[in-house]
Amino acid sequence: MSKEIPINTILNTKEQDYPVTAAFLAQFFERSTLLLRSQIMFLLTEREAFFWPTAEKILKLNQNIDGNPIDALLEYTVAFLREQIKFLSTGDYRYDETTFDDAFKEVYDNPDVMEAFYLEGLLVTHAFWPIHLDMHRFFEESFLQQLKQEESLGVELGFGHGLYLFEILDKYPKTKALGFDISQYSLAYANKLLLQNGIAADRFDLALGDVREPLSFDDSTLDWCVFAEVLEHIPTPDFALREIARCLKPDGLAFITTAINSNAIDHLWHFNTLDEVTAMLNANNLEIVALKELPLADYDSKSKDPTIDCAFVCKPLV
Amino acid sequence: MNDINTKLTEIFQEVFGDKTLVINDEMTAAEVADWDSITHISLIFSCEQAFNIKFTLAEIAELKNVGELKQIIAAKQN
Ligand SMILES: C[S@@+](CC[C@H](N)C(=O)[O-])C[C@H]1O[C@@H](n2cnc3c(N)ncnc32)[C@H](O)[C@@H]1O
Repeated sequence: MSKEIPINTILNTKEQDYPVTAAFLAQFFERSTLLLRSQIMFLLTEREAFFWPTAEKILKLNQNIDGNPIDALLEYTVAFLREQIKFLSTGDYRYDETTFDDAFKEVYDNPDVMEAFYLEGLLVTHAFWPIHLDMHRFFEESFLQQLKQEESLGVELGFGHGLYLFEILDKYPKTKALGFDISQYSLAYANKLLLQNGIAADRFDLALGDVREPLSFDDSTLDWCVFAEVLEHIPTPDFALREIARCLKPDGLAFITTAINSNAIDHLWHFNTLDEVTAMLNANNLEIVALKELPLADYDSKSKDPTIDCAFVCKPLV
Repeated sequence: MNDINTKLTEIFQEVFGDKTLVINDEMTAAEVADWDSITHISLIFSCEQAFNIKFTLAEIAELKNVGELKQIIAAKQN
């Protein structure tokens, strides 16, 4: 654990510029005696400049759809850690390539998970888990900044909460977005998140869809694609990547992330090393333009959690 | 309560990999090196299995010290 720092002093100095985050943290530290405390201390001391504006943005997006973010964040974190502990003793993920349908029934199609804490919890981890905050910064700097100002069309596959769609639609008024997700609850949540945060309804179209099936686009028609934290959830990652490469324009960009040695309540494809992921991208016609490796050990050298997250910006191999 | 104490000591020793660890009621996470989020959930998980109980999210998040953990376990066993 990192040493205690005077939380109230920090919150007082930030309250004016970042009121939602300051109020969130005051309540959080009252409730949580241990969970995520040292991680949030880390953010307050080592990531101050990026943390505050990002947390404020994400919490406001969530506030506009009436969330309960502290409970959701805690519950998502506990659910993840429980699975990771089982993985440490068995070496196996919760599901495997043959049991995707169980994951669908127990997670993606289950309101007691998706609506109760999953979507909201995962959304706020992008501010309050150091590893996800850094992944989000990589998204902004290496992907979002690189997209075109002109009219364009893109898709997000497995959009979940819809944060990435919001960021893209908000920054580029001339782009239009499509989105597919297998969960009716993701669909409802992301639609609400976009509409209630000022994105016009005619700029995006979200629908139910399954990335185990071919994408409904002609070759070389998409300017951008986001495929974040889905590879480790599906039994057909090679096929999905090949479809993305096929549909991207030659100058199109894909943002792709996944997790290595990291179980969760809905993971089934176990990547052991970064090399396995890069080899899979290359084998399926994607060339890596930028790469960020995020080992949990970099944040907490004593942690027993072997998670490595990784994020890529890719273009289609021609 | 004695029974709980014995089992709980074994769980703490196992989770922290320290066979000499002695627990007391006032002990908090801040005093035990390596008691972080993941070891915390390991402790909770082991207690759930050993005592055949289930903790709520509030109990997991708001737990203050070993004494409180013992009380929760005792209450759930009855
Ligand atoms: C971990 S979430 C990722 C959300 C968001 N992209 C992010 O990075 O935070 C995984 C999402 O993929 C969706 N999903 C899982 N399997 C899918 C499939 N076969 N086709 C489409 N979406 C799927 C789930 O419903 C869920 O919303």
